Amino acid sequence: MQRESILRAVDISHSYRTKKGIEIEVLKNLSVDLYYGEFLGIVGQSGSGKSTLLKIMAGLVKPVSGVVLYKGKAINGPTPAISLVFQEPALFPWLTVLENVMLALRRFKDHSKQEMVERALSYLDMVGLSGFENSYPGELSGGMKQRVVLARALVTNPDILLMDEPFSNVDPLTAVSLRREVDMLRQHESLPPTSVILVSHNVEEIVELSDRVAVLTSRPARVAGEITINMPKPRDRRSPQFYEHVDAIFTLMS
Amino acid sequence: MDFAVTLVTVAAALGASWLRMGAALLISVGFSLVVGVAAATNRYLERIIIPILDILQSIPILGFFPLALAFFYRLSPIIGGELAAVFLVFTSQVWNITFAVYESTKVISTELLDTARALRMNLLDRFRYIYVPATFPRISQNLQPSWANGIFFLVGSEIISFGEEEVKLFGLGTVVSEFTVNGDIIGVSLTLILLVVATVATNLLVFTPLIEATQPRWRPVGRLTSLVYPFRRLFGGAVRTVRIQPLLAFAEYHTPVTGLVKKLSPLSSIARGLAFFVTGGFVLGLILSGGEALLARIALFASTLNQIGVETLGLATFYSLLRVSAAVCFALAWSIPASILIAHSKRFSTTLPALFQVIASIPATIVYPIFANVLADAPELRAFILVVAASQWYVFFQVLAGMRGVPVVEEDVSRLLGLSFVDRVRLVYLPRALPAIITGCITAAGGAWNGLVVAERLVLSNVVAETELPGLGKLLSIYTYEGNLAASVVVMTVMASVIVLMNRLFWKALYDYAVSKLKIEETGQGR
Repeated sequence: MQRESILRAVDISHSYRTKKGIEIEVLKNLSVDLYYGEFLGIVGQSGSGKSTLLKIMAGLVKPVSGVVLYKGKAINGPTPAISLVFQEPALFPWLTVLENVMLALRRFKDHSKQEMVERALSYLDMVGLSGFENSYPGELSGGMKQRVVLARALVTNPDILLMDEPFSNVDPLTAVSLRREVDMLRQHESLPPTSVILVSHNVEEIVELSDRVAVLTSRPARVAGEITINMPKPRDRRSPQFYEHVDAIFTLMS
Repeated sequence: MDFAVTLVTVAAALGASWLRMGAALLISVGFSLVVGVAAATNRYLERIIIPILDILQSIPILGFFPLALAFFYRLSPIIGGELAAVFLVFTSQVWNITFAVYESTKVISTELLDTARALRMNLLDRFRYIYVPATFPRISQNLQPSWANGIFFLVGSEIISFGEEEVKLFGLGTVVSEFTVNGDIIGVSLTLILLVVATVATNLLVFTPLIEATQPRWRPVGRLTSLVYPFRRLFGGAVRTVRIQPLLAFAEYHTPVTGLVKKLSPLSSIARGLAFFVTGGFVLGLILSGGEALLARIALFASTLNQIGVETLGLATFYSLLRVSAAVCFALAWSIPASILIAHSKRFSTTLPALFQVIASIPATIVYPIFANVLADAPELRAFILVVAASQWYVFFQVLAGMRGVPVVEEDVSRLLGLSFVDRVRLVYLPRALPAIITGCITAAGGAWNGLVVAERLVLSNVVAETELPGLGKLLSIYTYEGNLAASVVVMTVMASVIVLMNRLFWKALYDYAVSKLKIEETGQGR
């Protein structure tokens, strides 16, 4: 059965040049597909170019060669249809929580100020932050900051949500509840995004959330293999089935 | 063969000036290591040294000169002039280095110090293995701004007459003013060219490799250039334990001002500052008078104050303050758009700053004799240009460093959210750079006050270039040339008090307000 892709990275190669002029290849002829309605996990060792791949898919970085197709059309820059959540909660400390979320709505000129505020508030409520709209990021915990980022990423109604190790900078307990929340948001019928990519080096995390996992090789990164996970959610981390998937991924990684 | 003679003369003058600068810089580093480490490691010394240093760095450097000259002449009439010149250059180079040592000694991890104690290291070993390696990255970053600042005042230090005694030391300053007086255009241009070449060469061959060699590595290291290697051999090792962001030269200069501003409460430091000046003035007067009775000195101070007149001083202060404000505003007005352009456009990011560094390295004082005559009809404009020249680069390089300090993530987010250019500047770049902008203004104001001493009235052999409206710098220069020491001290005291008051009441308040408004977590000094 051929499934339809919403986002395709086709034959992507990318390299950096250090200041001394040495070229470092990060990605080499990498192709990956994101299907409609799917939660795709991308896993690879640290420094394998996962973040670069995500930035390329978000249109932030132009690859040396290859294209990214969104609904069949090549993307040449950031688009509101694709949201990206960074590893560290990138909020502007001098703006309130509400202002930070509303920042994402500035590009839509047809909204009135009132509409924008209401919309931003409803998304803050969804991530469990109602009452904090006038706080400054510096007053929030790491987990709360990441929720603000999530609200900012979702407020534009994106088709695709890209997440770059969003749980790695918060304490383990907060990470558990954040993961559960992402899972719950996914179950929400009316709610975008339809498709999600989660990038991580944490294999358990990937197995817990993903419908399908792409395993990357170390630098330069290519797709070493793919694994489909057919387990009902929420998934039990201690089940033998869960560990079969984890082992399978580790085998592919090494 | 005239040209050859000129060339040799200029080269020799350059050599002489460079030797003076080098000597002053070495003394500065030595002084900074001793005083900075002492202040950072001993709580009692810290309380005494830091306020004194803060005051000393606020004093217009040229103001030191008559006193220094008189003092060194007393020591030795033969080399006194030379010593005074080196001393003057030293006072223009040393403070930022001392604060760099002080601040980087303060951030040495306690574990390291405890280890040293456990190993029973003696003081010499501690310097060798801890203090010098830990402070050298910051020291090396400060050498270049110090040098640039020194050049500005070198010219002034080489030709200054004091009362009847006129001291002319052979060097760039004397050579260029002689060329100007004689209308020797070839000589002047030759001096300028050699100066620029020598400055660029010094930066490229000494300071840049030194910075490279002593900075902790933050990127994959390739092969070291042949010049870097010996430096790294000398200062390597523990040097890399302290992390430091690469900053442009100039950005470092006077950064301590903000650091200090945070540490000292305004009122107590004003009181301390004024007390320091009053007693300091008396002590200096006492020494110079060869030990006459203190009371007579106090009487003289008071009578001199009366003699100059509070009104004259007030008016002079007002006009000087206007000139300084105008210069800072002007510098700010072009620095902000320029640095936004440079920091956020790939096309200009490398070429323009390099070009500006070269231009900034030409001391305004050396070009001054040339346009002093051209602009004789517009004395205010002439003074304005010199004050701007003495201050604008501090603003520019500081603001540029601030704009470049915008984290990549914030840049990415604003692109991702599709923020317009105006929104980006308003919501991201300006807030992020605001502390640096204010620091730049403080630094620039300091530079402008120093520049005033030359800008408001400069005497070059038979040419007197002065403003028509009054000013503190003009007053100071007049009294200095008259040889009226007591009056110079009074004017200097007023000027330094104004600077200290501005730093404490205006700049500190502004900085604190900005930082609290921006909710930026203050992580020590800088970001």
